[in-house]
Amino acid sequence: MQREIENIPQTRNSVNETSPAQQPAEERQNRLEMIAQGHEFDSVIHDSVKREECVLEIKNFNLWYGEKQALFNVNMPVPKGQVTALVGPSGCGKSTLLRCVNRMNDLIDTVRIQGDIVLNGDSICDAGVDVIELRKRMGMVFQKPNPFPMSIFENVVYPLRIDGERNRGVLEGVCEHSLKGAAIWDEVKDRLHESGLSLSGGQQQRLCIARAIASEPEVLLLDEPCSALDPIATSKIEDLIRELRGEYSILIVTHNMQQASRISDYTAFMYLGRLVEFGPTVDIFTNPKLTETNAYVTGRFG
Amino acid sequence: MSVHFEKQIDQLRRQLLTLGSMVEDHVMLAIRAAEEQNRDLAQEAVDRDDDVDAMQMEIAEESLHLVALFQPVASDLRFVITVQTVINELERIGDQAHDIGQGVLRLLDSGAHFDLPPLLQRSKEASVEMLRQSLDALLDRDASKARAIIAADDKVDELHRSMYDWFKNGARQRPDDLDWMMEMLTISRHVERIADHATNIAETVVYLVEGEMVRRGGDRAP
Repeated sequence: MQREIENIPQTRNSVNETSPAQQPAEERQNRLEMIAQGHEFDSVIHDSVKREECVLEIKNFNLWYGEKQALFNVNMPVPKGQVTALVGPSGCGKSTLLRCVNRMNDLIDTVRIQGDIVLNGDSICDAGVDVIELRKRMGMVFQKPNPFPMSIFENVVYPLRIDGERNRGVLEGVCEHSLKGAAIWDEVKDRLHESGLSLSGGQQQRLCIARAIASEPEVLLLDEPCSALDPIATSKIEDLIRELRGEYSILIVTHNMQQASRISDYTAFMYLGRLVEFGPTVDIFTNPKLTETNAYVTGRFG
Repeated sequence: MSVHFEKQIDQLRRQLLTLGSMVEDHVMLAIRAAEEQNRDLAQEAVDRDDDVDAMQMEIAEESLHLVALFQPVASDLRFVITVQTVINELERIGDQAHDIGQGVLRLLDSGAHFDLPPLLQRSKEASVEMLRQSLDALLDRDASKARAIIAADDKVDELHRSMYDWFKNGARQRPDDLDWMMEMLTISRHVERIADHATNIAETVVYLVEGEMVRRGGDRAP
């Protein structure tokens, strides 16, 4: 029998590290400095992440912008069918990492990479990879909504159009399914042939999500999808992300830590180009293994 | 308001009500064991405590996650705080039911004489009713019902105090029945504690509904 139960139980996880409070003060001060000085640093990846089936695996990944190294030996599995959030202070490399996944950094001449990213078993970094084909396997949504200057309908079916799909029935089916999936069908079903630009910002962003899921991507990449939206539109997008979970694997970059906590299953904390800690969101926000993660999620720096 | 958060809050609400009815059943079981001098029921009352503890832990953890992940405010925050408080009260009520079960087993082992004295009959009825009402008040978010429960606690305290006199007189007149009377006094104490916990639940309901922290004076029974 349990008599005087603790009000707040420790969360379950397989912690091998000591909890932040138990770490010696010396170590507590030095770890961030060590990173800043460029010392080798092993990411702490929780066991429960390792047990998940991966859609994407980032392996020993390094990236340089010219002389400046922006990502350092990132090793990170991205679980299938789950929402994974990348958080960290500005300049920590989270957007850079996200853009590497669909090779958008190819567009920058000075970028040099080392290491590999594997999407469902296929390397995406090989020189021979057809980048256009690769990008069809992922959907990407950016900070600012970017509907094309065409009708709502054409916006959504665009990925099928470029694949040469002409069957009206197929296009209409995909359009409806994607708009429903993006929780915007009821708002636009009677105006599918109006311009996508006539929608509100929040609707435009959901339209972009509909377009991103129209080709049933293997992974959905979201780069701060709510940062240009008001709180109500943000809440709708957040609900949508929770709805898409399971059917899609989602990797999201967010500056908003509360957003990461609300919508993600897993959270990765990055700092100065390194993956610091990666684990279930509940553990990152209730009982992170590292003092540094604790300091960041509690708003003590960053 | 996020749909996802609403779902989580709703799930927490359902879990809380499940634990409430679980504990209510647990108390009824322990009291029936005492009334019927039934060993099987008494043993079950002892065993069930683990289920209550497990459920309490589960809800505590989920409510913690809800706070950490969603940062609830205002009525949502009061609700989560209410859940955390009420599940602790319920867990302790479960402990009382467990102890009543153990007392019944001890009495059956000793072969002692075994009726519930009329005073205890009355306090147990009042106490069970308070528990039931406190859970209803929680379900209905009914602050006036909750305030009525807080007032009713004095009656159970008074009955328990009278049990001391009953014990003192009985001990003088029938020293052979001492074991029985000791256990009855102990069970009366558990019953009185159940009423105290029900009162705490009622106080929490007032906080939930009105946002006001209330505490009945420190006149707990001995």
